[in-house]
Amino acid sequence: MKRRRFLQLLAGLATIGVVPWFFRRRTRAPLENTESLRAAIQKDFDTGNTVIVDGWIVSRTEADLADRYR
Amino acid sequence: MILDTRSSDATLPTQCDVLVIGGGPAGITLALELAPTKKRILLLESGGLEFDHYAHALSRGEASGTLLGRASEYLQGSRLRYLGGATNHWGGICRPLDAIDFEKRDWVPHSGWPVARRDLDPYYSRAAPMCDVRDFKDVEEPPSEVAGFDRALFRNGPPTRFGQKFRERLREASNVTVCLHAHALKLSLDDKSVKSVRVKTAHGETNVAAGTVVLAAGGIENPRLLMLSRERELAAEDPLGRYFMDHPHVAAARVLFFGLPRDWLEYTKYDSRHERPMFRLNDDEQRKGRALNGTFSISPLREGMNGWWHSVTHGGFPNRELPEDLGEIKKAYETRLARSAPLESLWRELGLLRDKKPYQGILFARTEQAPNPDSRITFGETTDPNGQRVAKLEWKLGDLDRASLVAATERFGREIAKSGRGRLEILFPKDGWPVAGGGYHLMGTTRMSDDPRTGVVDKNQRVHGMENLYVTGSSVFPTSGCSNPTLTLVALTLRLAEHLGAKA
Repeated sequence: MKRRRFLQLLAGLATIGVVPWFFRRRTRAPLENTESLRAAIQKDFDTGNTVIVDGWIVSRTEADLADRYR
Repeated sequence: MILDTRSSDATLPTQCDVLVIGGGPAGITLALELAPTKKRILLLESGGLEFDHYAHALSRGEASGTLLGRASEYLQGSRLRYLGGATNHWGGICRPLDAIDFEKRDWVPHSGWPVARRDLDPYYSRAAPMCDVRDFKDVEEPPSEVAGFDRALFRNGPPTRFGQKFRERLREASNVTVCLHAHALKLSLDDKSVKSVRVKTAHGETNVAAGTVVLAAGGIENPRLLMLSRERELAAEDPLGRYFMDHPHVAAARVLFFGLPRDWLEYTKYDSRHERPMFRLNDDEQRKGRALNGTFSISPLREGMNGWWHSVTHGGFPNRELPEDLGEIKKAYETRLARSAPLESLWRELGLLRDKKPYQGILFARTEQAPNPDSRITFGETTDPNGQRVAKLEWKLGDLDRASLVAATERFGREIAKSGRGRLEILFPKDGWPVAGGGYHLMGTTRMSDDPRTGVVDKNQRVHGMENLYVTGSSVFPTSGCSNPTLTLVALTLRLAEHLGAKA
């Protein structure tokens, strides 16, 4: 009975996307050169190169990178 | 002396030198200031010494507007009818208006006072101790860490309840008679002056003749009483009752900090019981960006949906009704979190965001409203318990009000990102306003101007065309600035008292 409940829970989680999200997150390649990216972001803010993404005021560099996490 | 007109042996005086209508901070200040002149002062207060529902019912009316939705309690919620008036529920927050507020700004239609800030400075110095705050003369506002923004220092009084603080002085002043439960119904006007005032008490109606009449009944009742006293309908261009302003209080943005900003929070660095430094778009930036005056403060955001809603609603003085469907609120909250998730993941991977539960705050804006002739008081359809038509308020904000605040919020967001402190999420929907309301600061409806076409009173607060009729209080403000109005209305009343005293 317990095993059946567990399998039902697992199926439920898979259905709503938690499991695929978990594996995708684990397999995503880490960002390289975070230091230079941070410098690019700072430069964007210093030069006024900003955009609004989902209500957030971010640099152009951040806006370009955000798609990796969607 | 203080006379309760309900008592069986009470007799309302029928003559006086100065009749003051309204026992709020302006009326009390004026009566006390004129007491040493030995004029016979009569102060009419429609309530008593404590709150009572009968008097409060006289404040009923109709209200609608950009930030009010279907909320009908605005006119009753913003006012109190007993000695001390609205100071019986105010927060005690004081700050003079800024010098720029008095200027004519070409990007703010109908701006400009006929007096300058320096004209009011001596009166601000005298008004501050009346409100139990330190003088603002030579105040050193703290340095700002955000480019384009100053730190505006607001001082909190106890808060001062004028009806309690000055009650004994009023009682002891032999030439001042405070008449409680006395309702001014109508002014008897001829072409150039007020002949008498019709006053209702528990014993009936009486005409009171006065050498000078001063309306000090607040931003709604001052224009209403003048409108009730006019024999003719108002001309279309008459400024009376128009230009109503309040300070929009807006939950403008969410701020996510990359570290704990102890020195930024209003409740840490400064003792919030006495002083609160707000961020204010400085004068140069206002001129450059053709923006209105306004302040920002950051309040801690509690965790979870309840905390979110609590933070947004309790800091924002919402007059607008909240959605009845809790599911709708929950959905909106979860959608917001889901939208933020990709960016938060990015910031974590970049090493910008390290805390598991980052510190967050709500950026609250308290802003100037541009004078708008269509934002106005007229008569409603119903009548009050005295049989007089109730006030109908249409509080309207314009494009400049929203655009100016959105621009200032975005500017603030760019600056905190540039300084590496965090990021800011704008909470304005595409075309409307986020959770917002008013500050219960009722201003502008009998505005001051040298030109009778654009103002009801002149620079001495005398009604245009009238020899002996004056108005005082925040209803004479031509523009609102971003400071709470009580200190300024007390300062203006001290100035008026000097004018009336000198006139005698």
